[in-house]
Amino acid sequence: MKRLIPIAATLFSLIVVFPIFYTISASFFPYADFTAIPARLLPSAPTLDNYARAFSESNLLLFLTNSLYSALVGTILRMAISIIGAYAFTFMEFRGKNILFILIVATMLLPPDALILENYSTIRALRLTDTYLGIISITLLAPTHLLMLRQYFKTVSREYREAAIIEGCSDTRFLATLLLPISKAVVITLAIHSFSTIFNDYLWPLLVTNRESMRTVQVGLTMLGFSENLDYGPQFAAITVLMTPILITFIALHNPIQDSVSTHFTGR
Amino acid sequence: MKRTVLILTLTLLALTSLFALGQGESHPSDVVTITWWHPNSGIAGKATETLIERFNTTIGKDQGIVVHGVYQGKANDVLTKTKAIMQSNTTTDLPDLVQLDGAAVLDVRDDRSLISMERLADEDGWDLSQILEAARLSVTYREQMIAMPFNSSTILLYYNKSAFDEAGITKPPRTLDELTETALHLKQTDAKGKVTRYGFANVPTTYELMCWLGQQNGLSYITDEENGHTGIPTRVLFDDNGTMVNFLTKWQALYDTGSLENLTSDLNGAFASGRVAMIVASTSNLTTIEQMVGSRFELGVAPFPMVDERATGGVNVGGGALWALDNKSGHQKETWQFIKFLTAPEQQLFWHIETGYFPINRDTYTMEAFTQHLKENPRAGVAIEQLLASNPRLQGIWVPSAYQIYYAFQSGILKMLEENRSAEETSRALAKEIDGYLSEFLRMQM
Repeated sequence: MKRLIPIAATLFSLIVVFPIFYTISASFFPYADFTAIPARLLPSAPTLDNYARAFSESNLLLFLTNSLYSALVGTILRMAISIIGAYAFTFMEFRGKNILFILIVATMLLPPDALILENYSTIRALRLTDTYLGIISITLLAPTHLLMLRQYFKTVSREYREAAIIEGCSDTRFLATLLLPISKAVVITLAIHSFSTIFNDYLWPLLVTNRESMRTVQVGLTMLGFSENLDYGPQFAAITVLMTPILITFIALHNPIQDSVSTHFTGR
Repeated sequence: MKRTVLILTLTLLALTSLFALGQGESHPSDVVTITWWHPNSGIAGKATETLIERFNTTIGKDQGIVVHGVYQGKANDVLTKTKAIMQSNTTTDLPDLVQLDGAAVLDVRDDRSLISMERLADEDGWDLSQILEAARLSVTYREQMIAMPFNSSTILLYYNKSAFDEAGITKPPRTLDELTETALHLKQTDAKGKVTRYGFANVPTTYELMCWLGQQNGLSYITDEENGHTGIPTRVLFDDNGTMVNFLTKWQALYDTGSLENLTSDLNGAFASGRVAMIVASTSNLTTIEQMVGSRFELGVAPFPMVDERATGGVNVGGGALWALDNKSGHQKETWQFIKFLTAPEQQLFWHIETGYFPINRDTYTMEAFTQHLKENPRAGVAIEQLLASNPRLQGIWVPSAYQIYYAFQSGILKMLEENRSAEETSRALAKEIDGYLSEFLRMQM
């Protein structure tokens, strides 16, 4: 049994890694390799043409900048709101606390697609179409994040905070210097999740932007139109380019994520 | 303290950048800007940009009109976005012109912001008979042309000519009976009896049935109200008029030979790899399929096979159209100028050569350059001839619950083949299911 686990783990990781590997490999395929029979795993003669075309035939760098900027600013604001909110809901006493919390968490039950028209009307009424704020504002309140952070903060003993306050520590300082460092793993995991959700969103950024200079990379990718012509190369190249920032972030931060997963799911 | 001030300042600066790019572009007041939302990407995207530039530097320049083309995602996304704005009652956000495909008709045709294309043409004294009749009728609702056909296509038979030559077949099949016989000759199996090449691959959906049912007896309709072109359809006609049973009987015979593969996706790939010897697909796939096949085998195209000798109706026009919308800008005349430009014979010729969508202007067909182009591209010529020989009253269906109906046809026909149901039973069951969707929609309208 013990020997089976690493084998199974290797198999599963192969399943996860394969599409990433293939995407990167295919981004170097010359055109004929895509229709070769039998299908190829590695390029017959690696070429950079696909990258050259992906960048020359679209405004990929601008779209990528827009996506990175809105995902980054969106994540920072969203995490700030979630952390402060969760802190208040965990450690502070105020009237209507439970009802407010239930109301916020209840919005988790609303399917986002059902809200998209109303959200559009609101953003439009606020004259925020074609702005970064328009793109990120609907993602700012994340009830799942709030709920998960609150649950985590609850595991921190209340006496811990009371002792700190008696010693003259302010709430801000307690949050910044004591609570956040011990919650690092959860905060980073949620931040990465936020980043990739905002970065990967397609329909919403498309709805609230009209000008090409405000387009995000997911919209830009379909603009390439390579898939319709079955000219897959440049599309794979573009996907590789936009996958890279997320892969780098993930690899750089994989230790805290691993810690978070192992402490939460194995009960260590 | 200093640090707090610094952080606050930086935050505020960062926040303003969120808005900074959001300010609208300003144009000199004597120039009218027309916005066109479209789903054209890749080759079609480039052709679109060229057309816009041509207009802006010629007619647009003379008359003070600037057209601004905006790619708004795939056809379905353009519709989602347009619908979102229509429903949020912020009609000033609507573009002057939007390009939508056939599936969008039900969503926009009754909207208050829609401007009838026929009215725009009439006000200018522009003769609608310049447009190919089949294309004009494909966007006609209750006797009004409500949009301008633009990226128009039909269905076509693609065949592996090399495989035909090997098997000693000289002519592509004209009818389903001939298709059955041809497919049987093209089928190849390995030593174990496993099929290595199918003669034909397809599971009919609305797309194919619009033609296979519609072309029977010269002209038939799938639903009442002339396939939804004269009003909201209330029931299907294919069971009562026997067109479905007639078609299904032929289809069953084809399946019984074992040379039909029930393939629902990536037919182009299966065909290009040589695993299937014949498929039917849109004329707009011609360039793609030519590219995919490459030098692997010789590609042939032929008219879409008829159900039987009496089914002379031909094929219907599908694809997308341009819709003029009222966004309270009062620029309808300028929008019409641009539509008129796009519809002109020369621009239609350019659009056809670049994208493969066929010209909707009749005058394009008599142009020297056009006949020359067809001579050099005989495959495009086959598609055009088929279209011109079709009954223009054969039309696509405009039904609610289009997706459910699409899958109802597909799964109903699969069930017949795989569970040995009779053609009559299948036709009745399909009629009942689709009638259900239609009456459900009517109830919701009340």
